[in-house]
Amino acid sequence: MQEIVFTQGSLIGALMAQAGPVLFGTMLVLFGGALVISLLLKTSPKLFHLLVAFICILLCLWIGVISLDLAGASANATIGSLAQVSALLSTHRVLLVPIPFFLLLNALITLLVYGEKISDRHAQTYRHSVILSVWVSFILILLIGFESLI
Amino acid sequence: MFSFFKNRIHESIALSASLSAALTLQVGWICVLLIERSEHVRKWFTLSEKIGPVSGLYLKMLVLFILFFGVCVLVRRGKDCSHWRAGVQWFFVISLIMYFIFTLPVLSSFVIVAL
Repeated sequence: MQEIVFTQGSLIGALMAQAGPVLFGTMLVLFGGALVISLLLKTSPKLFHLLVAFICILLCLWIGVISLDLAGASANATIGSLAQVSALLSTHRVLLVPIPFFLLLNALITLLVYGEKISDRHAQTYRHSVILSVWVSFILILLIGFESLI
Repeated sequence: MFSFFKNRIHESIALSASLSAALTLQVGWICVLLIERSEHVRKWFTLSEKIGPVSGLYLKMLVLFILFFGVCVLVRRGKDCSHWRAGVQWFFVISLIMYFIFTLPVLSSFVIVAL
């Protein structure tokens, strides 16, 4: 009797095999939404619910990406003329990882505290803090992505 | 009574989050430099031989954030924080820049991932 291989040609199987890049790509897509919503907080305060949901998902995805990255850390051996640069950038990439995590956590706590009042005048400093956190996290995640390519 | 609590904004919590994130980043870059320069510190931070000192660095930064956040919330709970607002946000931005600069490969050239 011939065995049936369920994973052959399966989309889910292919996604699971490349879980890291898939999670990273999903993060970048969600960041696209979070960046726009963070800028719209002043005019549409009700969007904060959506931004909180986005940040929660982004935090979970980031933890997933880092776990997968660290689990395969020993496979990052490099050879050739770029080996030293690659090792340095790999270290720098690993050291940058906590920044988006703490920035997103800060934005999440601030949003949960202020809620819809984040658009008020007295919350201007915190609104700027949320915008800064989301945008800097996005830039750093892009930077981490580029550094991992070298 | 409940609507009063619901409508109240606990600014101290938001402020504590920013302050504890800033303090954690400050401690973080100091730890990164110490790990590079001291073998004893490097061993102390190495929780997993496969990952290296970064395993301890991540865990200790997370624990520090929770500790700082808890202490800041307890200290500033129910108090007026409006005069701290701008200062803490600037400290947060400066900490972010400092962490980024002091973890550049030019300054911290050690390899923490097992290659």
